[in-house]
Amino acid sequence: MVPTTPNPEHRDPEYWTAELMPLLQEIDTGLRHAVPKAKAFFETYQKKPINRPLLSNLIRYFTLEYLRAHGKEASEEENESDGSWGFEGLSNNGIEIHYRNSRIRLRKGVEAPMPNTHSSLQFYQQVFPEMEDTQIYANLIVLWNLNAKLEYDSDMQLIRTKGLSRNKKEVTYIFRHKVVLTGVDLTRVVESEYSLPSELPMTDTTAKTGTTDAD
Amino acid sequence: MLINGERVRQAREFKGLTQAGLARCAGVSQAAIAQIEASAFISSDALATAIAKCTSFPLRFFQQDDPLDINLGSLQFRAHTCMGKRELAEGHRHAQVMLEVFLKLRKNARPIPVKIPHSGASPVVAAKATRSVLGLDSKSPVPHLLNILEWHGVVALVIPDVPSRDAFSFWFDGLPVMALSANRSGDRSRLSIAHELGHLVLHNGKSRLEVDDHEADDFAGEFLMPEASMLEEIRTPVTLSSIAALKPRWRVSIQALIYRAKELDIITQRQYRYLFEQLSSVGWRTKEPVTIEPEKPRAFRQLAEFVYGNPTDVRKMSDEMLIDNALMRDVITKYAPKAENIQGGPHSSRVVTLQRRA
Repeated sequence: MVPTTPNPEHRDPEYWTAELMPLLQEIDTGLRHAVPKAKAFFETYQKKPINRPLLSNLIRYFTLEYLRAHGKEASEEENESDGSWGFEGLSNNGIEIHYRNSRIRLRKGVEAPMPNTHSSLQFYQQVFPEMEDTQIYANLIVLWNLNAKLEYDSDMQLIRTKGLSRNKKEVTYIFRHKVVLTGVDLTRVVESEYSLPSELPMTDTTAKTGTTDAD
Repeated sequence: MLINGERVRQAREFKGLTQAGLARCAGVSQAAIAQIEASAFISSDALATAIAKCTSFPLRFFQQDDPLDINLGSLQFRAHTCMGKRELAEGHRHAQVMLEVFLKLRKNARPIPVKIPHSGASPVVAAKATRSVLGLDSKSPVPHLLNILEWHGVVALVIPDVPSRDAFSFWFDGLPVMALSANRSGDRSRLSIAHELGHLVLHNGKSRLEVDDHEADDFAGEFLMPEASMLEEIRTPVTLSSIAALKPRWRVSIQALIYRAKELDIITQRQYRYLFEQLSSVGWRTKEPVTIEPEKPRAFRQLAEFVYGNPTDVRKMSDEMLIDNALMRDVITKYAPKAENIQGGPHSSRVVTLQRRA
């Protein structure tokens, strides 16, 4: 498929879900691959109860590995430090993916976290300071989460943020949308399915002796 | 040497040549070719040989009686765009030649009775009735469509890939015949086959100028995507994702499913336009995800195996059928081989192989 540039003017979540579906499928597969590996770290190697914050970080680590191995332009989310907060090396930064002229941040959670740095506020406000260099047209957040049993069951949200509320206590959204994956392997080849035998009911009248298939 | 002018015309059009083109190749004037085609003609051996060489048919081909009389006006086409006269003739000639080979081969077998109905009812009613005649229930997806049609007497012929033509059909001497362009995607060709089935059921004896092609579309829609099932399975809100999920089950394109949803008022015209906009934006308009394996007809090759063995002695077959060896070899591959020769074989949960008792 030849990548095209999504139209940044679109405010419809369905449009963006469709645009990003191949990536969302890949993220979903990556998370499905990462969660058991991360849990195995505690259950098999440490033989200790799961440490939830560390589990999340391990999932992020294995997901990032998976996405990179599958050709995605993914990295640790850029350092959010704006020089005054000293957030370098903060362990729960998400993953940043560049995909079809969009910048996507993959974070664990149910709400987009409050932007606490200038750079993350810019991200939330759809400001594209590097647009001329990077050709980024949209900033999006993909939130994923685990269920009560610490299993991943395709719980993903696609979010496009607008900024902060007037009282600066809440994140406002252009849209916030539960991702429904197609459940279809887009590369799948569906073979022909016969409801009748493939040999047709014609009798070979050239056969002088012997039996036919029907025998 | 006495050669049949009708056969010269047939071979020339089969090859996609104009009279001038054949004349240039054979080293004579266009008028000479026109004269030959106008009647049975005594030609010099050299000219007959040149015509044979230019058209890739053996000399004996031109010494046969007239070709089968297929009324060109009876051909029902499913095409992308308006087809040129030469393309029309080329498709017609391929079907004519291959039907002749098929009928020769069929003399060596007890043929399958034709059970394709004729109907004067509305396309939707006719599609429902045809499903029933073919042993399909009213709501399930259609499995291997060509296999079912061949089991009910349809003669399916594969003709070369011409971009502007998908398929055409006609009745010949009581036989329902479909000519299908090679190299189409499985989902597209299934829709074409259902469309042609619509013509065969609804429009027997009518010329393509008399019939409304939309009737065949309506027939195909109901035949492959029954209304009752679509109303159950296409749930609102309809998204590209939810529609794409139906493709492997119904074995039709995402575009066909969107169109069907609009036709059945499951989505509005505006939603329809929006979904197509999305299709374009993700590149699915030109290349859809989820590949539906193309269906291949079987009867032609099965008959060839009766007469010329399995593996088929194509050289002997082409000699006797008066067709160029390379062409015949290529034609054979367009048909499904015997199941046991296929890696994995055609299979289905609905086809049960009984084991011998120990």
